[in-house]
Amino acid sequence: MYVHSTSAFICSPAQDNGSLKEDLKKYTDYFFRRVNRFILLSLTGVHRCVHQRKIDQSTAIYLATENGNLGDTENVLHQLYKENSFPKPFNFINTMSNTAAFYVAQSLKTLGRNITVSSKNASFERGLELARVDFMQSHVTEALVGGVDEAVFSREHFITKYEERYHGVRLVDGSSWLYLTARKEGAIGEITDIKTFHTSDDAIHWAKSLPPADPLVLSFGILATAEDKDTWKRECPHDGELEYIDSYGFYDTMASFAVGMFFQNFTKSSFIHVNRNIQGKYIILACKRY
Amino acid sequence: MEKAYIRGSALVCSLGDDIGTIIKRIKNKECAAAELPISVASLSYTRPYYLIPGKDEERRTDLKRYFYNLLFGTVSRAIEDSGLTADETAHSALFFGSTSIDIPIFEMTYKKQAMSGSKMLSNESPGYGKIASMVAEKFDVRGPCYTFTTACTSSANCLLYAASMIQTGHIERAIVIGYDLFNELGFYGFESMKLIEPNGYKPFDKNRIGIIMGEGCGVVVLDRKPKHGRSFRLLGGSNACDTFNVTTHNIRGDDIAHVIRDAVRNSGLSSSDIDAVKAHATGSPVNDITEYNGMKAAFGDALPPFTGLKPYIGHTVGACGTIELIIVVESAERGFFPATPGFGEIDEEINARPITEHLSMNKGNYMLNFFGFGGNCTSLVISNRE
Repeated sequence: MYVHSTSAFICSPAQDNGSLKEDLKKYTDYFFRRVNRFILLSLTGVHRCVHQRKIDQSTAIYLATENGNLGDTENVLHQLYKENSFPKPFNFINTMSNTAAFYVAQSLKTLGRNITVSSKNASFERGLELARVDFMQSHVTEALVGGVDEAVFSREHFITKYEERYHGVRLVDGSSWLYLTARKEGAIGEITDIKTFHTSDDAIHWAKSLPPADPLVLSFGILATAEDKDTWKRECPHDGELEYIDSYGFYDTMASFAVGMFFQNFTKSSFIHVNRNIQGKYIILACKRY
Repeated sequence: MEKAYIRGSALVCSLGDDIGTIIKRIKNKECAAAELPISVASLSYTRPYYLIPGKDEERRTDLKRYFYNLLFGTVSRAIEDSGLTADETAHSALFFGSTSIDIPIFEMTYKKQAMSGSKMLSNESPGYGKIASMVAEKFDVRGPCYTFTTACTSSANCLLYAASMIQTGHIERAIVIGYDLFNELGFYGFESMKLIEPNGYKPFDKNRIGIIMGEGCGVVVLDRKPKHGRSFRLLGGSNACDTFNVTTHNIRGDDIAHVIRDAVRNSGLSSSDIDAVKAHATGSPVNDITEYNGMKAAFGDALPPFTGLKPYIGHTVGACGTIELIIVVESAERGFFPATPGFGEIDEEINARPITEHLSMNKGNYMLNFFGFGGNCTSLVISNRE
């Protein structure tokens, strides 16, 4: 899967939807009337990614999210149980988490595959795996794969989800996308591998077995421990580290942001992103920037 | 390319949890919808819903426990039916498809806590992937977990991608779960859109008004290797997005026709090879027209016999992919393709004629169609021909 463009968008949860809409208008003429924040984030990230590009109608959309559309679900529960009323149809429809991927497709006029996928602590990587299998079977030749999530709202929630690894991380909204095609021509890089390992040792062993390549940049997901990082840095010869969580904040599908940042800030380099999920598996995403 | 065999399955729905009994009741054209109260906004009337029978006390007093017991129990029975060893289970991937995910549990909490104005869901949601990770932990499934949330095509898309990953050698096998439990958000949401049929399910019928929802859990084990005596394979399928409207597809059915043609092609067949079609057949006035137009465009004058299964078990939304696949497979293994109960009067506007008597057949290439909100269209082809 060859990477042709990327976006890496984050914003403060406090930023109002009006300013996000104004920002989005710089990238698309698409008329978006009654979109909620999750949909707005999805559109913002994807249109930054494909701005001024001609996207094939068959382009597939893979929207990875850990939490989906919480806002409208909350609204409908409130309407039902606090206002004792029927859900408003617009809110009810938007509780279906795939409405964001629908509006992405509609705004880009694409008719290809359209998937919303989640996997605890590895949603973006699993989305890429779905794209990969479609590319392999030639069902898809162009794809947009994105990680979109609103910030989790409380420190307590964060600690519950991530088992007390809060460390004062700033929580942000984010939407970061990759535009992938089967064509090497014109590409800025490629996704070279997505692999899951049951131990860090197995993952490092795999990484060390890779043929010598361009300068290697390492990067780590939210659940990688200090010990993990030390071991990787010690065992896996590398030329740099892309640290993004302390610098930019965190949202649940933040691995997509890391990949976007790599492609936007490095050239002639290889990239290994080490993610760890709550079950202790290591999900490795490897890319190459031409 | 590897093949994706349907190695085993388990199902719980309004017709029960024993597959032999469920298929026997389908053969007898039994439909078992209950009447549930609509009690918001000072209104008091009922609408039908296909509820899973039994364990009412557990459901009422400890919904979270009921939710996971039902899920784990069905997964356990599917593993047993497939004859998976502990090692094979460990080396499986897990696919989970649902529209409502864990909303039923949150509704109960929301009601109990009376947290007016607070962001309870946003503050406490463990994320869509939580249920799949709990199943993986419970059954020691060590492969990757994928949760699909594509509305009514959720578990159908799980089946599509599980089969693709087996075919391409990425995984050896997959435990594919479709699960949607009753929730007021969906029940009242569809009623707010005036989409619930009050007088008996009748897809494609002239007097159809809408859907009747149902709940259920269907678990399918797909594997590179077949279980002895079972020959059904998932040949392939397709998915596409009709961007006409977030709730309805283009009435011409162009994109539905496209996804049907693509599914046939991806399965290595031609349209004339399809012996029967399980339509999505929601019973909504517009959707049935759209689907029938799509089928006519794809098959032309050679439209195979088609049916709708929702009158038996309700529209189980995101779970209908695995649930309806299990019903087609298990019915075929007992020698028939189920008819469409409730259909009585032809709608002259479309002239669609689903089968009203069971077809006697046990070998065939079967197409299964699923369409949903968000323009999602999924078509699968299964076969037990050599």
